[in-house]
Amino acid sequence: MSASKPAVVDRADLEAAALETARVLGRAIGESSVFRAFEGAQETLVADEEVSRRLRAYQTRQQEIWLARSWGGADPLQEQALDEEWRTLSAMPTLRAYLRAQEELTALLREVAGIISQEIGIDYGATCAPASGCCCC
Amino acid sequence: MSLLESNGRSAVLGRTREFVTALKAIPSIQRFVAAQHRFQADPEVQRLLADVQHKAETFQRGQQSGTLREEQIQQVRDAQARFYDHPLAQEFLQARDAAATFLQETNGVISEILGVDFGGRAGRVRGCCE
Repeated sequence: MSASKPAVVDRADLEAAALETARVLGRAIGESSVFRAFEGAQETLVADEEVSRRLRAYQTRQQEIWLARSWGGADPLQEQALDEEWRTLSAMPTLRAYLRAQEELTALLREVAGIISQEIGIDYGATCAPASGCCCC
Repeated sequence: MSLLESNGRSAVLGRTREFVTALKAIPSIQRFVAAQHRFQADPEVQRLLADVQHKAETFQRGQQSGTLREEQIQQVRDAQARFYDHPLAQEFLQARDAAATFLQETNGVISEILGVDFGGRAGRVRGCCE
């Protein structure tokens, strides 16, 4: 025991302790069945080359159409075709399972963030979400 | 161990509470909580905030309907200036920024472990990209 060390816990120690509890929380989320199911569904999705390829193509088309829409030049027929492709894609078992697992994970993460936000009085999700706001998949 | 415990949810919620307790001990978070309390309890600064919001809504409606007048832009700017001049608004916004910086750091730690953006997923507006 060092006598020269102040008994008062300083800011850096408190922050380090909080970061450690954040790490423990992160590990607990990582070990939850919801997170494991998400990881499994993600691996299955990535391994499904057919769905992955169509999903990438879908996302590229989606971005093109968004861009066109922001200029006011989106083709309604193309938008319809994109919606149709999404319906087909999301009905495929690997993607359907992934989306369901993602939804369950999001629900858990929201619950956690909701508790933090309520206790601290600051919206944790909004504070930490990318500033760009809209995002995708 | 019950079914509820075996899926890890109760462990996650327990760890969340420990995290919250550790957060509440951080000076920047404590300053924010205190500043927010003063900010919310002060009728004058709340009136200035409501005024900014009201004028900004009028501005947006004008922009959408194409009836925006030059003086409406100025009214928003004036209301904002009055709000930002108030010491409690300044204290609140500065405290919020400082708290947000630390919360973002904790989000970075959690997200790195998961390989998933925790705050980004939790804060995402549902269906915004569908």
